[in-house]
Amino acid sequence: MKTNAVMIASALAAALALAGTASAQEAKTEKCYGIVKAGKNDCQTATSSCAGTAKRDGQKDAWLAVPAGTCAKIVGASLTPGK
Amino acid sequence: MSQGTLARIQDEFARALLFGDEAAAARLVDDGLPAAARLQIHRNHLFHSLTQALMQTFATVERLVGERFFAGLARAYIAEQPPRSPCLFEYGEGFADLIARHPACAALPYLADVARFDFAVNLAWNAPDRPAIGLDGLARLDAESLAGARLALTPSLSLLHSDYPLAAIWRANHRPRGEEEGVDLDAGGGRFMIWRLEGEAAWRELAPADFAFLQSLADGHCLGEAAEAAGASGPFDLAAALSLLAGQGILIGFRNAVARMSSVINGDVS
Amino acid sequence: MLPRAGIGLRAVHHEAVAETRPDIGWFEIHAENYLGGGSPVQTLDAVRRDYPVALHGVGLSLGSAQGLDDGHLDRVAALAERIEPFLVSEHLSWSVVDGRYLNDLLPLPYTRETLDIVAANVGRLQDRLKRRILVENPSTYLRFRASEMTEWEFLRALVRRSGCGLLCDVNNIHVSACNHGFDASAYLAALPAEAVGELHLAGHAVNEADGIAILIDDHGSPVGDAVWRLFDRAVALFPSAPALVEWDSNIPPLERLVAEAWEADRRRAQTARALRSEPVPTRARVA
Repeated sequence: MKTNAVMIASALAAALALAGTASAQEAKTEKCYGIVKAGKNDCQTATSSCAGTAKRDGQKDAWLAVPAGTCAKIVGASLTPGK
Repeated sequence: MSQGTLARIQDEFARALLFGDEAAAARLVDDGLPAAARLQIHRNHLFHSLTQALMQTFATVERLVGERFFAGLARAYIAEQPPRSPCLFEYGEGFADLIARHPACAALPYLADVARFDFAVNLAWNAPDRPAIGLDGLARLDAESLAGARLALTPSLSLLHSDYPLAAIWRANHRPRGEEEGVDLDAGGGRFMIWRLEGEAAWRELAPADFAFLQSLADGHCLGEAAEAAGASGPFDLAAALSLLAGQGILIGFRNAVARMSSVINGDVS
Repeated sequence: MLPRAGIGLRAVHHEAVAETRPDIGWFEIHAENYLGGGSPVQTLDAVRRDYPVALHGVGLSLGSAQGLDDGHLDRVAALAERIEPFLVSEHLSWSVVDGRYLNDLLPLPYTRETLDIVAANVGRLQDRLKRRILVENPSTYLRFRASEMTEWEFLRALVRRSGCGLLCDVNNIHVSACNHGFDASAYLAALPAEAVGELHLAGHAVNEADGIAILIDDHGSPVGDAVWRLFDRAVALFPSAPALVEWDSNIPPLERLVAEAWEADRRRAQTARALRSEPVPTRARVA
């Protein structure tokens, strides 16, 4: 082992000395607000009213052609085939 | 041991719902509405309700490809890998891998990593609570034990290294619908840690050495090995990395290898 | 005192519940939404400080021929230990085979073999939780040729065999009665009254895609008139069973759910008054 035990112990001592001081690291952290938080299991107790009796398998491959969301706004050379 | 009737029925029923297999219909009373149409109610519910759950978990992916394309991907995933747990916040672990190998996504090379990011955010929200420990927990060890200690990290943590600017893509697609922004893929990739901080999902980008350090600890290597892996990946400040671990609630105790130590700290062994 | 009605706790209402603390009897939660950690669990703990909570499982799969999932059973037991629910319930249905969860409350053939299996699974759950559980009658859209008894006969036998109680969902009875052409009131009257420990109320949808109306139990609309009338009969038969209002799709603002719970309270009081005055119709009493 190249990194020796004494070095680790002294790094820990240094980190302990830092503890409690305002950390510049906080600023780099980003929180994910506005995402759906819970409740996915509520759909188990009730049958979806979209369920119905109609077969829905007919469209099997129709969707494959075009993604139609915001991916059109993602640009860059790395999207070019055979890059 | 021979399979009972109910076990056979349930096996046939599962195949009817997942794959449209017809054997189950013969078991049903056929009055008014045909048996196949009655089964279709459950088949539609299975795919519809799980698609809705995946859409919540993979909200960024859904924005990027649109609802219809997403539903097609979800259908393929559900039939191939139905949930292994009744808790749907745990569903979707293999979705990114399916995207990575799905021909329909070939022109969207970044999409699988976006799915990994979405799943990491979902895990950050829902992972079990484990009390964090501070660095003073480590300070009780002598120098030799410290270097050999295998640290347990919060189960809410994911580490993700991508060639694509995932943070920019996430931000651009979590604006109100219709106001999503463009992203230049060539802005470059990043190394991310995603975890739960004060009850909320959070992420930050890490320098290569810090990322290697955390990855090595997460893989179960001891502190000495992790510090070495970090040093080999770039300039590394171990003291700063340790205070990051403790300051962000990442450190929760010790792994089994030093279980006898963990009882000294807080009795929590993962 | 007549039991107050409760409502199903849903994630979209977490904030409104914390802010307004509605005047209702209790909350019911779907166990599977609270088996992780983080903010859902914190919210639940806060609600539990202010209200009685009932634990309603949606994933234990009491009808699985392969038996209960040990890991899931442990997690539900740990949650029950933590929140100390005043009622614990699950469905007469199945949802998993070979470890694959189908995310639905799937119907069972009502046979002696099924009765053996469900009674054994209910017994294991009750042993694990060290308490009696309530088993809920499902909404069904199909029937099995193999069935040897009616659903209410099956439930009566299950109560005798396992010692469980029943959660009587009056909307589910109405949905199944319409879908299969039986008499909902006769079903209600056939249930063992002493076993019924909870009532459920919800709305349903009508699907007429193939020219034949099928009622779908979507919990996505107000409780219908026919279901309210059935509820009036149910509270007369099972006066001590508290009622719950459930919404799971098109979920409206919290106030609408609270108003429906109050309507259940009002109707229960009205039924109670009518019952008290029945033996002496000339001396009408007001409670």
